[in-house]
Amino acid sequence: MIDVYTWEPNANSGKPLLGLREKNLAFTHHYVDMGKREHHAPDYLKINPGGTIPTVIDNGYKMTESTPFLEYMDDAHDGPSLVPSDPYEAWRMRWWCRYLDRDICPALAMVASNALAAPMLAGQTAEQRKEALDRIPLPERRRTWELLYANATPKSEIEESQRRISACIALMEETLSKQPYLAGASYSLAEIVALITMYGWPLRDDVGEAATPHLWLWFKRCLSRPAYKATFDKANAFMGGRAKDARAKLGLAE
Amino acid sequence: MLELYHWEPNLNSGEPIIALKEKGIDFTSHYVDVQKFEQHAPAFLKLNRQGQVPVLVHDGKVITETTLMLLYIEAAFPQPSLMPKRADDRYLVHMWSKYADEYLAPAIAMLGWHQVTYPKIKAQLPAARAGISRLPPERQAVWQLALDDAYTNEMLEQARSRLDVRIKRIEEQLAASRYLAGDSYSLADIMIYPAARSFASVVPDLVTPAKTPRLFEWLDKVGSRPAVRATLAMARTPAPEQVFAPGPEVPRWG
Repeated sequence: MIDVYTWEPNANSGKPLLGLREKNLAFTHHYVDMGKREHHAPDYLKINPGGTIPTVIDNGYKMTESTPFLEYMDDAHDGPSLVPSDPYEAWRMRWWCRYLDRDICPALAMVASNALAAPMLAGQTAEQRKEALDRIPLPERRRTWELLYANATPKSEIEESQRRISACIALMEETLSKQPYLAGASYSLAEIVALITMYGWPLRDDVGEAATPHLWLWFKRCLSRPAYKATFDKANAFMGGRAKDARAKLGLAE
Repeated sequence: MLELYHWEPNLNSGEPIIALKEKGIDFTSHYVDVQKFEQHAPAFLKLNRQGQVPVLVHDGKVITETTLMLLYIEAAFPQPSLMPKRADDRYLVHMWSKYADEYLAPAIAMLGWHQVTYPKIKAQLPAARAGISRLPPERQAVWQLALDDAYTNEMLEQARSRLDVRIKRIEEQLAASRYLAGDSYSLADIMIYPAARSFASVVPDLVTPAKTPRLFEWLDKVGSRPAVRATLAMARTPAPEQVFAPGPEVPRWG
């Protein structure tokens, strides 16, 4: 019995949704609406006092870190193996997971939330902001939301994030020119961590058949997987739509 | 052929040394003097362009990222096992891996450099400036801040609050189990131990017999292991837990 408390198939909140489907494991998705900030509301804080999503409960055992959960899922359950058996390939998989989680996903989140969320939040009153910030348990998260509310992320920081995203695209292209998947010969947890954040990348101007041919083929291979489609078919209109547009641009059948 | 490039047996460098000694594996030790900036020498940067220790070279394969290196050592040299027997405890190893590298290491390195090391070696720092130009931009930024000791009060306060959250998590875990990932000693303890030895130097008010009695008990227990004692005996400075260098970047967003 696996219960997943999370939002949409997007970034950390999406990792267990895609991971569990790749592993062919049944689960119940308890929807936590991040748009309504339900992850900072009392009901959810009873489940995870840290106020982060996802939370996964497997047979009574609670986990709140998304990439460590993927390791657990692969380790504890039968199903297709998603961690390479070769020690060096397993290290490479973890290297990618760590690099994406630590360096790239925050850069993408900074760029996206400043472009999308900050203008929307700007309309709120000071009291509304204070009330919302006071509900965020972890100090580092509170700081991020404070910057967003104030629309105060320095421009140089956003440019640095964009530089990192470009460097990541180049590194993926180089890696995938030598091997079909990030860790080596087979699809692994590194793909799950990458794709759940990058599913819209085929729509980017700097990703394409001509500019990044090996990355393009990797997207084709990965986004045609049944688990991927099943995950995004259940997504909300915005994310599901982007995933659909990305598949169409790759020339994949619906 | 197994070679380890490392500094003092402290934060980061101490971890793989303990793991290899626990497993009784011989390795060639290459001491890299970080306070002489040897990690920025061109020859070392060929090994790891980030200019960070430790680096493990196993039959020509270059392994970086401290706690992922420990998981590699476990996979490549499974006996005696340093992974817990239960899958839910193994989840905790992956969780501590993330906490060690992303929260503890950057915060301890920043506070330790600012409070302890910078005042002592200020005069030698002009020699370091040439070397940092050879680093990738994100590492240059970390070093630039350190060489100028330009941390803002907000950055230092955030580092303290990150440590506060995780020190409480350690204490809480040690109330639930004898070690950090269950009732037996594992990689999780090795991932945290060298960092935990430095808590008293960087945040003395957060670790006291009244606040963190279990942490102290655990430090004694782990510190009495022969492999840990042999590791600490490799120190070239009288108190390796009190020498610091700019560490990994502080998480930038969220």
